Amino acid sequence: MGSRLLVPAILLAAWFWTTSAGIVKSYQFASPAAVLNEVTALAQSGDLWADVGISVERVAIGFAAALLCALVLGTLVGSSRVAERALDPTLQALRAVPSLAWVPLLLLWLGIGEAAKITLVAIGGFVPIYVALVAGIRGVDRKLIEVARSLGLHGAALALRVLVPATLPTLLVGMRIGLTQAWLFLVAAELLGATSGLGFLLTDGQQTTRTDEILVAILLFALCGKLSETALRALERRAVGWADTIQA
Amino acid sequence: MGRHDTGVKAIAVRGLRKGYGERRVIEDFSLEVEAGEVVAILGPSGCGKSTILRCVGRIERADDGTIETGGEVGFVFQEPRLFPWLSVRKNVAFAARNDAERARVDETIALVGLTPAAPQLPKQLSGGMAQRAALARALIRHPQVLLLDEPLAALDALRRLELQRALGGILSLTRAAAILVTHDVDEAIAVADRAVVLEAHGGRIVLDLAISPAARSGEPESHAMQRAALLRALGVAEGDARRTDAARRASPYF
Repeated sequence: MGSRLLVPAILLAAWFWTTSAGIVKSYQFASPAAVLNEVTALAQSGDLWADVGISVERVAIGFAAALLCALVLGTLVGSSRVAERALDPTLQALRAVPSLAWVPLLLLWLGIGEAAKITLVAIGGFVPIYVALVAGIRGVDRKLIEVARSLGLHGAALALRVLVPATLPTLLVGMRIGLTQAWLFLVAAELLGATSGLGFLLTDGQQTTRTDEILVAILLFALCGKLSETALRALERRAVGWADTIQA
Repeated sequence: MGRHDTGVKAIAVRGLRKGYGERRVIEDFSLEVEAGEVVAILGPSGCGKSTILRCVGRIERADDGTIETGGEVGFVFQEPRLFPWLSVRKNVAFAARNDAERARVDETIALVGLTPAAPQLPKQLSGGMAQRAALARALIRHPQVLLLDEPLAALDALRRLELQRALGGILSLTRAAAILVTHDVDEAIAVADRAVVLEAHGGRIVLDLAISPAARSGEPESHAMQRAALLRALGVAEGDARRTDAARRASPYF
């Protein structure tokens, strides 16, 4: 535990010292005290909760949409060669497009409202989940399917009792990466034309040269990302503790 | 002939033929197994022992011939093939179709001697324990026919001997007709009522030998005699394989 906290402690001390000694100006990098003040001020005005709230909401809705689409398309492509030939090349090509490239198109289509932001988040979250699910379904041990078939299992029963549990570990890893991607795409969405959210805090801080505000946004991003990842990791441990891996 | 001889055929295979593409694995195989009888199929590796078993178990479709099996069929593979996300108890219960069978889960786990390990996951089991669990899963439906595809081949010598003994006991308790595919002559003598030796190619039977109770119980003289008979038949089968291979290598027209 001590060794894990050592580096953050040194960084914090260096931050404290460089800003208080005046080596770094406050318009370049705000002091810890200034950041703390800003957090308190934002919390008191209620802006903090509103911005965190709206960002979390966008990620949650976008991620849920991504999960739904990935489950449908991934299952289709993973279990049918026809669907694979029809859909997979297109989806793989979409995957190669950098996130920001979507922004102009989404703004034109959907305006600068919520829909454009949520769509961008969903695109970001979709890809890793889809890729993982297809790989997971392909990787199911054929010998286990043979056992289930020899016991008379077919169709939905086979899928539910063998394919779903066997695919779950890979799917959950994909979901964890997808969630990180969703947060990444949220920043892209909120940096461009948002009036609320953590990304808005970033642009607002930049325009008013308030480094304390920028730092607050960055720290909150770190916190939200870490918390959501921890939640999914806990889910993973509960759901796939059976997997015979080094991690487990 | 069997330990529970009733004269009823539990398994009847006639004129079985099976190939994969151009390769003809089984050309003509016939075998009858009575209710309660345990038959070991011996043969050089690659002779199609497992293919026969997989056809009898309807895991693969035969190209030709008739296969009749009386009642429920249980199959044990060479590897345990347990579902890794389920405990031993749930793996066994996986094969249960109704409450009556579900009620037998603990009893069946006890039969294979795995009660202390019932709540454990497959990754926590040794090879022998995992194979016992697989056997319990195959037994939960009270099969009249049990098909065992080299179930002990992956185990170390000590475990194999231990499980061999247990398997013999379990088979006589369940009264199922069983086919045991193996390449181990001693295993065949220890577990089976009858041993058939296959040709290297085509699946024809070169020896059909009743195992005497004396040999099974380990009486040295009869054990040695039956062992020698089986090894001789296997040697002929393997010799055939070598001669054929040598002929193939020597002659471009073969």
